[in-house]
Amino acid sequence: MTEHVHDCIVVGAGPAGSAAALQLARDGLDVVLLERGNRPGEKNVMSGVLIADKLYELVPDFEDRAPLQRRITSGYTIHYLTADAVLSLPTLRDYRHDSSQPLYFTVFRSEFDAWFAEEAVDAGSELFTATLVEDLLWESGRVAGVRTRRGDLRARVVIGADGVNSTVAEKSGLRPRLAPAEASLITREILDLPAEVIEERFALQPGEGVLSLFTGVVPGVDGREGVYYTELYTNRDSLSLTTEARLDTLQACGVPAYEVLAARERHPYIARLIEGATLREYQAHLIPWGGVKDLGCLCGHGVLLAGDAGKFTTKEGVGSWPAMASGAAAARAVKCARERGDFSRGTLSAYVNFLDEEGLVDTQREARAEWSHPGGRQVVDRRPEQIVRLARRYFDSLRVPPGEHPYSMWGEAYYSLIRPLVSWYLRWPLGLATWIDTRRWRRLRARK
Amino acid sequence: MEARLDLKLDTLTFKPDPEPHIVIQKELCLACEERPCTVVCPAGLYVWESDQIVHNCEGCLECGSCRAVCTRGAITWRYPRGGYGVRYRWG
Repeated sequence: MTEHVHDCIVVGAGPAGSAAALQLARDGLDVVLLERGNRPGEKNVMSGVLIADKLYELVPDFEDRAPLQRRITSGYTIHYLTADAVLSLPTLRDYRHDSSQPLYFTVFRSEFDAWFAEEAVDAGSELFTATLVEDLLWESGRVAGVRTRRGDLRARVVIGADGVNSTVAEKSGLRPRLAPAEASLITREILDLPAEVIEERFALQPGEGVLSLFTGVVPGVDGREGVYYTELYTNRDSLSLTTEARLDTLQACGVPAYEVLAARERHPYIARLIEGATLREYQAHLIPWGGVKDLGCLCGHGVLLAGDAGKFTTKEGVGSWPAMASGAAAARAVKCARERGDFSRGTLSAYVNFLDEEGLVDTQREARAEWSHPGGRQVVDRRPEQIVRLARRYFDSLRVPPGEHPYSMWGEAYYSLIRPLVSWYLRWPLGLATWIDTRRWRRLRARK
Repeated sequence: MEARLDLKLDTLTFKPDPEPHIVIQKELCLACEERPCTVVCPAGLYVWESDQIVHNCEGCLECGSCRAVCTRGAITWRYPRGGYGVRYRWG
């Protein structure tokens, strides 16, 4: 590596970094892509599905060329789990196949990232693997390159796309280290299962896939509890089973993620879906949560943050398309700065405008609002037990004579959902109506 | 459950970095009562044994959870050098 000054160094060959490098190389800039793994994707874990809308813009024929596992045709099926029951919300399976449909795919990042980085290399960027960026080089108050064990590399601008534990973000002082409430830990298992068995079990054609989300409350130590999510999705000849919990939840609940994963494997419903599968690989990864406080922290003098490094995830925790879109936006900002020959923070802050065009400013705001709303998610999270109770009551009512029930359907709905969730001064008219309804119901019942 | 975790970790390939990438100032851990690292580490690498924290860098999945939860600043964390550490084949 020489003292040659590159136009741009992109740190991290994940979806954000490769998207940035691809765009920059196409625009004719001299760009270097650095990856700490021996191969791009070696350090990465896909914690959900790839939402490929942005990829479609960047590489329109990716469906023919990228290493994809299955296309999700089931939408996002949501299940509420209790210890011995599961309630599934209605599911849309959409078999239309045109460009207006959401492009959701299961992928292995070890294959996908390697392919995507290769696209960037084919477009003209230079890729160095097994190269860890340990520090930034500074020159009169601005970032002037990166320091690696293999030597220093100089550039006019550095794009930090080095993931959730970003070295660039930390060394540039742009964003503080993540707090426990700002990250979720994903633990994931790849479970081997023959393709034919998967297709039969989930009612799929070859190439089609499903994605299921399970939400449930886990009892912790000392009577505490926490909400852990589980996702199950289909690869070509394997299943991915994950658990996800915020670090502060894990800490408060006191139950390690792998124990919850093991318990979810034994849940009667999930056990039937993964029956006969054998463990291929176990993985863990953090995903950032809740966006950044101030979008200004995404750019500094000679440095930009994209992907997980800039906390680009939606309020649902989806990071694939925001990573690619932020990488592409960063590339546009660098191109603008180069045209002006000025890589100061002022010029690079055009990044925020480009992010806005990609819809990412809204994404960040929504993620922040959801995250900072006290108990925002808890209303959803408290429900599994109550919803399952209500569903049980409904199905029981088809079978058990009505005399067994203390409340009507409405009464049950009121006492299990409205009463715990709505404050008394809003719900009292309903409460009164329910009280009258319950008396009527009991009178009717007594008459029978 | 411990044995199960061992089986899970056996599925992974590592190229161990001879320079430890996580360094712990164990004297700071003595004052820590919550010990969140023992709960959050997905590889179960932090164990409280005979009044001190026992930690092993080998088998680290490089997720960064321990660093995020350690409020006492006892954990000095960096990535293993380029090419070293965990190698996910099916990430």
